[in-house]
Amino acid sequence: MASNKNSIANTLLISVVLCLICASIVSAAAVGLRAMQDKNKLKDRQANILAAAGLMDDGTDITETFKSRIEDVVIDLNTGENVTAQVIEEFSSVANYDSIDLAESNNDQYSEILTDDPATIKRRENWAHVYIVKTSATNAAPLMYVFPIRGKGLWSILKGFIALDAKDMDTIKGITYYSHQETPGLGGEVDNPEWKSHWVGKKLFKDNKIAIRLVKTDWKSSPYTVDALSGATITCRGVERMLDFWMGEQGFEKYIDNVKASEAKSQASK
Amino acid sequence: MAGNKTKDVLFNPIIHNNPIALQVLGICSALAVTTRLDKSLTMCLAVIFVCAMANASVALIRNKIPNSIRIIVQMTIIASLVIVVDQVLQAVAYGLSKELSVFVGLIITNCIIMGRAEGFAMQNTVKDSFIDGIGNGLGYSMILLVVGFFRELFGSGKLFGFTVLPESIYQPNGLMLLPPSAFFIIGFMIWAIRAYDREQVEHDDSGIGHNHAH
Repeated sequence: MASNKNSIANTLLISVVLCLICASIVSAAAVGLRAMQDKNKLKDRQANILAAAGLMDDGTDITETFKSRIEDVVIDLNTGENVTAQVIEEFSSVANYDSIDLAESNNDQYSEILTDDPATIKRRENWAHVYIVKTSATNAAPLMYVFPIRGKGLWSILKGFIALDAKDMDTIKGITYYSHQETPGLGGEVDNPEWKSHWVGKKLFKDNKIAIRLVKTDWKSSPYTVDALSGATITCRGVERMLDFWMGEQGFEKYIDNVKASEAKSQASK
Repeated sequence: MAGNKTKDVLFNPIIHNNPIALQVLGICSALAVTTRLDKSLTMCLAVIFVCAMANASVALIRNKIPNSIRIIVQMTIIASLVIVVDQVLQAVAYGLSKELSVFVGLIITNCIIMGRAEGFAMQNTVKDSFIDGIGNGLGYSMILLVVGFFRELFGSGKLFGFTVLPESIYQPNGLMLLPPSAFFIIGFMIWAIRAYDREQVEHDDSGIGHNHAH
């Protein structure tokens, strides 16, 4: 028995049986808890959209506030047109359309491979969500636009939201990241509320070009600079590049132009 | 006698053979997750569960494990349990699991669990090993909860998120939220435990501090 225990046959047998048992336990846990986890993730994403818009306090009812204050639309990034109706037709609801998941799972119909890829995300969805924040529960006039952004930092793809003031589509109202694997204490400081508060009131564009940069010194004096994170050079570069990408012509630029144009038109007709 | 042994196995690791204070294992997570008591408590429960279950599983198959792959077998069992814990946390306490981030996954590399599986569970019965796992988990938890208590109380004036010391009477000390404060508190605890139980004091054989005039 004792010598048999260490035989090659027994070693192989034990490792195979053990792996099978462990794999089934892990898979069972992952599959069985998937529904609850997805629900939590959705709620967390909604909480982050509200946080980017500055609507999150300790006691905020996330689901309720999201329903009453946020209009979730889907736009075509290539044309800047609203394609919400088409999405509802194909996916039965806007919430069912998970643009990032489609791009990450290499879906050719709904995403395309990037040749010019500053954010290092490899693929970009053709249609993206935009979350329009209403002025109040009863007044549907847009107060802010919240855009999803993502891009590579040091270790991982950072995923988050940036909120722009609807009045000029330029002033930043808030930024949040809901998913990343950056080093805690260094790149992970993108979660730091103090750092996030530096973004509020900063401007994104200068002469229609993205001008915002993360700098080491004297970030307060210019509306186009935010304090860079110490010890997180690559994460900071990732943040800059994802803004270049998502706010640029491969991102939401056309949509932003359309919003500005229609705003100008409605001002003129008054 | 049997009852006495069980009691020893369970309670020895709390003061007399504490994995953090005497063996100085598992310090990394003790620094990282003790800024708030709710985080500390979640981490403690996770470690108690993993340590007890890993010990029991290893003891159950201890006579079947080939010597050449015993460490890998232990790692596989521990890693599977940790993934299960991580999945459960993501399902029932998403906010906390996000804040604990990598540290739940890092339970896999916590020397306490590996050390108990190799050092105790490989030679003992399932029941004793399970109890030893709980005991060592409790020893780890005792330190984490004490450290978490002081760090949250003096770092943010709160306990479990409820304000205990309002800012009007106490100005929170930011240092308590940084990792060095956990070193200080663990250091004081080791001092206190060794003052109470003098057997734990190590003999100085490093030569540092002695100035022999030969």
